[in-house]
Amino acid sequence: MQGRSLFGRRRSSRRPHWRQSRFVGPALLIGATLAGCTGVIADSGTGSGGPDASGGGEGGGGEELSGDFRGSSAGLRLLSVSEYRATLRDLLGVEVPGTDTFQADTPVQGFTAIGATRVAYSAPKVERFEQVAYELAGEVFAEGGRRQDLVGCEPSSSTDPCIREFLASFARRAFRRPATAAELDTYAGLVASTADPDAWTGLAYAVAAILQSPSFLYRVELGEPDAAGGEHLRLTGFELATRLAYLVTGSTPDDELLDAAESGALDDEQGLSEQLERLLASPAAQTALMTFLEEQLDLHHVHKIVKVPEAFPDFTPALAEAMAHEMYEVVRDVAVREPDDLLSLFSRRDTYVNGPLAALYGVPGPESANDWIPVTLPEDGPRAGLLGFAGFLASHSGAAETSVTKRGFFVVSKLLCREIPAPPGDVITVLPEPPAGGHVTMRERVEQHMSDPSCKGCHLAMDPPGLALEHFDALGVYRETDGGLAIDATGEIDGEAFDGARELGELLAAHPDVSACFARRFHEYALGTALGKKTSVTDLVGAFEDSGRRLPDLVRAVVLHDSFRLVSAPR
Amino acid sequence: MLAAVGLPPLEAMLNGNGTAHADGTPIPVRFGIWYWGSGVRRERFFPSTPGPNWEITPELAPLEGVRSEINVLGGFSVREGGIVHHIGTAVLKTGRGYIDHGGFFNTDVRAHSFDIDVARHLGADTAFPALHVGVYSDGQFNGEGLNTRALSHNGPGSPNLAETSPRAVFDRLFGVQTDVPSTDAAPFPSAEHRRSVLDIVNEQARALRARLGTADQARIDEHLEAIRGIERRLEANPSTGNAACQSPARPTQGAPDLRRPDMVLHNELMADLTAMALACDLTRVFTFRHHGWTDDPVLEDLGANATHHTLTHTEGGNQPTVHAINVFTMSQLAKLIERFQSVSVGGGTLLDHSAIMAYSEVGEGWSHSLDDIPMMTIGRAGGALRTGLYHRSTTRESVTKVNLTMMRAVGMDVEAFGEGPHRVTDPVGAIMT
Repeated sequence: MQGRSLFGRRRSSRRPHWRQSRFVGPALLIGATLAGCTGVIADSGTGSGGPDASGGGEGGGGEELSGDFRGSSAGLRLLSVSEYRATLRDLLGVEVPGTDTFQADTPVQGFTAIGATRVAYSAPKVERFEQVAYELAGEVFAEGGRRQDLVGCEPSSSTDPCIREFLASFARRAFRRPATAAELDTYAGLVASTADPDAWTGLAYAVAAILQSPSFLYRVELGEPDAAGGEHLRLTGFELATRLAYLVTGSTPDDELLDAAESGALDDEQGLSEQLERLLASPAAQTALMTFLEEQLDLHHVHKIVKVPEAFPDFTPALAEAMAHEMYEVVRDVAVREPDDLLSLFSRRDTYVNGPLAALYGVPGPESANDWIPVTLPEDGPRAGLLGFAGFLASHSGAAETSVTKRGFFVVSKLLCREIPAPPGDVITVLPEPPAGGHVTMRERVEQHMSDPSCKGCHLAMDPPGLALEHFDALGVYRETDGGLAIDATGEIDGEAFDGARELGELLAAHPDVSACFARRFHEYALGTALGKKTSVTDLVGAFEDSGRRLPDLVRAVVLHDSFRLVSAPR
Repeated sequence: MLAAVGLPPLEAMLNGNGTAHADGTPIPVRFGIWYWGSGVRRERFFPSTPGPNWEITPELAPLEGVRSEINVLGGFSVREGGIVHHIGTAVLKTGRGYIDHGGFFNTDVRAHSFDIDVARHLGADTAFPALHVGVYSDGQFNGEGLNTRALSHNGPGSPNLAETSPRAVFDRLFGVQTDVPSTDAAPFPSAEHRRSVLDIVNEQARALRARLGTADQARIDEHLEAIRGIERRLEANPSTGNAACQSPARPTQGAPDLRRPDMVLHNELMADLTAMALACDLTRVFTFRHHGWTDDPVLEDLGANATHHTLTHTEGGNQPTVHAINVFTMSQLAKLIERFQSVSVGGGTLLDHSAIMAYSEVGEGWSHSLDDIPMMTIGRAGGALRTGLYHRSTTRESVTKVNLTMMRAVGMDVEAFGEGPHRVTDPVGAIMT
């Protein structure tokens, strides 16, 4: 940031003298050059333990790519539980039964999409896939089910030609590519051998078999040699269509997209762009793109907020759900509903409140406590943007006390993409107890971290933005003081001073590393690969910056980027 | 409709002294792991007198009634540095350090965990190779790597997550109750046709596998292994059960409430399901993950105002709340032990025929110590293990000696366990008969 003050005044000179004498001053910088805890966006990939050559066989994707290729390697991607459900809804027009019957997805590096290229389907999940296949096939092909709509004919026998036609068209949708003749022979044979009492039952078995096929359960991204002679593999049109559909709509490609793939229309940028725009305009895109933000911004953490009654007697699960509703709605507005500069999320004052949330924020609420109304938070108030949401503040706190480290870690790691190594072994991590009969502020307690050399490096990077939010207690309620003591919420990031949450938010909303971080993380999310050190995404960042930093623009930049089409050798 | 459970041995088929069936085949040994996160308060956990006359300590007090069934082990260490909880759990599972993929505490195991070898030895013919359950998990694991998420791993990238929904465990073991419309009196799907379909899937998976790199081949292998499990269960004959094998009532409970989990109830339900899975010989291997350190609950009923792991870092003084949680955790373990004692097998109890290793991944939570890892063995392994002892290593031996001891106790012919500083070739002789 070239030392230019973007927001607010430098405040270090206004700090109380006693505080400077303790430890703050220049030590409280994020981005200060300290062993192990500096971070540069293009250089933050391999992290704490150092690259582990011997573990490379199952390594973190990016480390194994050849040269400076910034893409994924050829391979398989699992369907997430929500992708699996959406896909079956699109294929069969029915809902997968049961809401809690699947083992949860396994995110890696913060994204389920990366876990999907790293983690195997568990045995309970494979078993459940088999059960669901029969449950859904049974439902669809039951008498009075929607079998005729699905199949498009009334088969006169198990060898009726319309059966093979249906199998070809259903398998194409399910496999996201045309089925081979051998595959169709297999399924037609299965229909014939299981058509008891009639062909409908045989078809039910065939559909159940297709829904258990690896070609259905895995998104195959193996690519083919580049006809133009490039050194990398190119995804086939169908593989590209699949990657595009799951990224933008969270589900399987529709017939129009598969037709475009088959015709070669996706081979040129214009054809790909046309399909992308069509999908972006679909309602499914609004839900699917939120998946990225939900994981990137920890939105889902809000569902597990726990507060203890002695500290927060008024806390209820309903309040936590209200916090969740606010966060999701505002993020949805900015990101997908009326796409705006994504970074405005950190300075925005427009939000929604119901009665309890309005009371928590100290703003006028709706007449009926359960109603939601839009409000604009005061311009000179303490709170703005995501870091001012009660949901963020409460989910990045303990059950009774704030957590400077959790809040600060979020800013540094998730928003600025800076790597924080793990704490060293055999350190005593208990914060010093307050002196008997006296209270000290959280800042004074965490100073312990910063005075211990083995803790100092990382906590110097993590704690300042956390301390900036100390005016909000563990529920997100504003407080002037902490146990009667004044709160010092000042700090600096890369030489820029801030005082409190609103100024920190405004600073982040203009910070180039925050927009670069969004670009890098979305790129990794889209490819399902932690690109690590190989990610010098300057062209993507540039496109994102130039476009006004709206999420749909980032989607366009990534989808039209070479790395969305090319893959390196199988891992 | 999809249930096809294994065949438990009838009591009438046992021989007179209960060590073997009437036809001479021995009663199988069962193996388990019982785990809790974030260690103990060392000075309140470990007894001071090794040997059979160890005194009950505050944190072992809940186990007083079953002290004759267990051994308490002290003085064993994880002999490698690293991210402390992560290295502890990796070594105790696999005898090796972890892979660090970079990013946020993003570790994974280097190799499969030792329970997989035990399951291959004990459970080749059972309906399930192993059962993996837990009492509580927030499901988010603080975003940390796969190594933190499970006790059992088929290999890198393949954790066997602990199921925390009693209902889901029941459905998997004893059969899903579903309501699939049928076009005829004939059941849909029939076992025969399910097998035909799985044959097709198998063939397709193998064809796909041939086009993949090694990491994806390993993932397909896990998929194929899961299919083999389904096939094995399709071949087993339905059972009428016996006195020891009684399908419990289907629990109505899913995973515990994230905010106010009923730990006592969920522990009892899981202990019951585990005991019955073993009694019915649906599996001979289990892992029981009471709570971890990245996904642990706030135990408000015990006075906690933060998660167990957080409290080990933040509570001052003698950490009375941490201590209370440790005592509570041992009372939960006691429940499982008592449940196993209540199941008759042969002339004795299920516990007599079990070898359970209980441990946490760190010594003391607050200091992140990798020395003095709290460990226990539970049960007699059909006579292979002595019990009732407090055994203390005075030479900072590797924790992996206990893994090797368990493998030998269940009858495995293994020469060594672990690699590098974790490699051991001798068991803890003091607790073996």
